[in-house]
Amino acid sequence: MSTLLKVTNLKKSFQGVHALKDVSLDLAEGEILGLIGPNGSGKSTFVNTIAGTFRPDGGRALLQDVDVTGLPTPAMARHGVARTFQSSRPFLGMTVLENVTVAALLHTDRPAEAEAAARECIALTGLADCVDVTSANLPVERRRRLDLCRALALKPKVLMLDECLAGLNPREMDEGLDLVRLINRTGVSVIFIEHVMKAVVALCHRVVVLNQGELLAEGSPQAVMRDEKVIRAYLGGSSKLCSTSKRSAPATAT
Amino acid sequence: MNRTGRIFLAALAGAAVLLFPVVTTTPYYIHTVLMVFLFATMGLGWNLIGGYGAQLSLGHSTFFAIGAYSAVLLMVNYEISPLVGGIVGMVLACGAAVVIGLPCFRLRGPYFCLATIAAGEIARILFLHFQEFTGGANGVPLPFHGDDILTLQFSSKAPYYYLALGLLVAVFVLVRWMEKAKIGRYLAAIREDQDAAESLGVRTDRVKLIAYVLSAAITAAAGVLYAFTVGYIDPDGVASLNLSIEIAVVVIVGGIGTLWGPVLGATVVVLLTELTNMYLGSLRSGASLVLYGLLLIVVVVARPKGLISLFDRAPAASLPKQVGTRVHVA
Repeated sequence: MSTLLKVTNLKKSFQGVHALKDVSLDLAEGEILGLIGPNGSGKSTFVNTIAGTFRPDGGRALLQDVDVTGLPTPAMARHGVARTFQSSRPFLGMTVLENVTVAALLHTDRPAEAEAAARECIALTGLADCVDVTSANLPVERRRRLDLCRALALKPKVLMLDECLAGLNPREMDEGLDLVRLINRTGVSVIFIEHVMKAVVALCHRVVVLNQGELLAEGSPQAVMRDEKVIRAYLGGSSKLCSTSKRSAPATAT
Repeated sequence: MNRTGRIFLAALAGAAVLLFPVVTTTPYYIHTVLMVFLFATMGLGWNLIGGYGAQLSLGHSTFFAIGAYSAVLLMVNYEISPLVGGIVGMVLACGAAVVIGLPCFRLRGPYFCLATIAAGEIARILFLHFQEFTGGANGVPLPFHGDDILTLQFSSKAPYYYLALGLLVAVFVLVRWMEKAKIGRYLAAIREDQDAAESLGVRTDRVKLIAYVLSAAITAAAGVLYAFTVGYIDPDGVASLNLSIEIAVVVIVGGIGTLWGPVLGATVVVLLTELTNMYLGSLRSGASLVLYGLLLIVVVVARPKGLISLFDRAPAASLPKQVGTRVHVA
């Protein structure tokens, strides 16, 4: 498999806090790469820096040998790097169809064509029954699907999913994983950030672990899970690794 | 109301608007309706950036003034027809929009709004300052040379009325098209969530600038027509913050980000201003403004989406049953 996205020595700091220190990683074509690490390890900063929300302080990002380092967000989307946000961000006043059409307009100037493309994505992501529903009225699970659907309509090469399963129950989460697999099979490489290890193990071909802005480990999901360094990085040892994250745990469990 | 009923009503309204200057001969009435048309036109233009794109501009009188001054000065000083001068004015207004927009669109929310107020005040002061050219605070009177379409001068109000109506219809059709076009979709996305829009490849600065420039051109066209209708312009009349606010108020009262909102808003606001002036103007100075202000407050509080929401019909589609009732386990 050839390298699609090659990131070398990516650096980003905020007022002296080094959020990313020389992070290098490759994403192969067709791959689902898990990006894990404790809270504050720099996962979201990595996504935001690649996607153009933040400008990197150093390092390079090559997309199919094209230098895309520090490009603004819209330009990254045009180059084929799509992302979803940690908290779902649909255009609340628009219907599902209108939401996805905005994304599909990246590839055409005709709203009618974009709508047709949007409908295909909507059918693929299982949102066909709420095409005309205003997205403010959608439950969390549907909003997460809509995030994926919008990103899919961009026809990206790389899709960065920042905790796209957050707030879902176990069954919905399984459906979400199926959806990510489906998107991956259409030829999209995925960078998958998630706290729920079960999901990471089930989905990812390869996993990269960040800790305090540095690359801690890399390898197959199973190998990484057994890595002593990784277990130590997650305070509380191995038992905590297999449980779900704080956010998705019931609020009563203290 | 069924379809035939609505078509019948629309035809009736159209006929009333078209025949109004024939039926009434009072110039004041014709002028009042003409001002409704001009404010509706400016409201439609303002709505492109202020409503669809949600970038609140309170500096639109600058473009109105640029249109008005360009056409008037070119005619008075160089005997260039306002049909040409008006286009020059629109192009200059577009240029001004680029100059103002490029730096100001880096700002968001109230900061953008404040920047447009500042830009508008700078423009007004510039019009006052260069008095050899603009006539300063004295303004520029437009000498009457007899009826001529090339000089946009008519002894009766009716031709201006039809020109303003034509401009309104043209702008209305343009905006209706833009609403559904790519730029309209992108503006709506920017209004909803600028960061999410950018993540979908929307070059928000560029889209906002295009909408702002178009909006400026429309406002300038209204300015040209106003100047020739009234026959006199001065900075406090055409470049004031008051005018900028009134353009925004027309849209906010009518319904921000809607097609018919500016038309409805202009009708209500202009007629209200005229009525309160007529009946309360002699009562005590400012009495009409107090009533006008109170009514605006009532509208904004009771109908935050504007008066157009009184006409809202079908409720939005809702979720299919099994989805809506699903118990969500967090």
